[in-house]
Amino acid sequence: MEKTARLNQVCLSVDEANGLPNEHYTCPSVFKEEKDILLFGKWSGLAVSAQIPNIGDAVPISFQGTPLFIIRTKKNKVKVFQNTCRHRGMILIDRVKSIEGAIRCPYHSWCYSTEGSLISTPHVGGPGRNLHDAIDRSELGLTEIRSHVWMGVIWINLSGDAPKFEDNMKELIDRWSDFDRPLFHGGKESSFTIEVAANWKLAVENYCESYHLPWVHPGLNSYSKLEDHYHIEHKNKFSGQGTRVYQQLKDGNGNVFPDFADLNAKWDTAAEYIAVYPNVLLGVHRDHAFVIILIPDGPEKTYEHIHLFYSKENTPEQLRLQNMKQWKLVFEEDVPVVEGMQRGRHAVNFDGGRFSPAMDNPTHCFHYWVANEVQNGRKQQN
Amino acid sequence: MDASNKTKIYLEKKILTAHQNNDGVKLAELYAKAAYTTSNINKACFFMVNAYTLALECNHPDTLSFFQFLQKYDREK
Repeated sequence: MEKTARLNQVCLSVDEANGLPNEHYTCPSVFKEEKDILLFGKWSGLAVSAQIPNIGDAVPISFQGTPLFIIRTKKNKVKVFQNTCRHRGMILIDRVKSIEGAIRCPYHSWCYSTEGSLISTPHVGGPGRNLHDAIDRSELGLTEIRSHVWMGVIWINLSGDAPKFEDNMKELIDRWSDFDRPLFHGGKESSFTIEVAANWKLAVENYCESYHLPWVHPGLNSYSKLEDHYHIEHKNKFSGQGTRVYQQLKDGNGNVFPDFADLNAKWDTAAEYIAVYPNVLLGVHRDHAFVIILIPDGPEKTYEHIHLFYSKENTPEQLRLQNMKQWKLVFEEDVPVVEGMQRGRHAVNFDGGRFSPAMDNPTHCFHYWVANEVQNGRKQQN
Repeated sequence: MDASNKTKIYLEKKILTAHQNNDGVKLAELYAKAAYTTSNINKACFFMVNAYTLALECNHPDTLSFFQFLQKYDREK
């Protein structure tokens, strides 16, 4: 079957469709295609704003080979720039640092404000002369990448042509309006990274559905049973699952995390877990939220950067630690199955697999989105 | 050796040490001193460009006065 026909097969209804073909998990050229279409062409998660808490904080981040840096500007805005000088393309920020004044290129010392303006060009007109008629500083500011902060995540659109984030994600922003408020990162012990030998999409697919809970997360399933879950699907944007029986974590003395203020009563016992396409997995509960940013490293390796957030600063440290350990266990329980599916994608006769029409709807929703976007991207190229 | 040569050698040594120590504040101040101690405008501006650049980076309190020095000789705007 040729490529288009195979992707058409993915776009059928869930009871008829097959999953994405193997090449979408193993092939370097398809990986590159998906990188351009899905990761650069849409709003992708890059980092969390808690990584730059103070004015002047700057962190270099390579996103799919593109050198970027995030910075909290003097005006206290989070911005994302291409990490290259407008002169000779030198990398500007080579380590996590605090910018006291200007960003100075380590090569010929062209200087930029934290807002991205080119403010000085030493000796550009010859020794002792910072001016030259051919150098118009107003045209040579840093290349800013479109960005938006929501749910503590710095989202970027590298292609620059996706719809505005607020418009693109309106349905989810509305759905979770109760959580659209300052989220407080739990600090160092609330961040960790898991390396997975699998394509990034398998991490999304596994996150979307609750079908695997009884088998892969027996601990969770003891109180949050399969029948307590519901699907969340929004074609072309996000999908996931919710539970109606969330129970708060308690320490030995019965203490719990403080709730987010003024939540709808629904959240007394509900929690929701949503994959925001392409690469961000979010979870919300009455007393905490988490973010997983998936950073692919080639077709068969993914880094899952996990961050936990709370309703207030200075929540009890021991409880935060307990919560981190609990979630780490859950996310690590997923690793063998995600890696197992990746190995399965090297089976030449695997046809993408069939979906459970009752249980796999959110996963199929994601497959549909990938297939549809890749088809559209290919059409635009031809 | 006359006094100005002695000052020059002294400053050069200090500047090299500050470069080795990656001490931007000190470097800005030493380059400014080098600029202020020469009567040759082109040399002074060369040093002041360095002083101003490093001052910008470390948000030195004298940044504005370094800028004004260069502006006076039409080397910065």
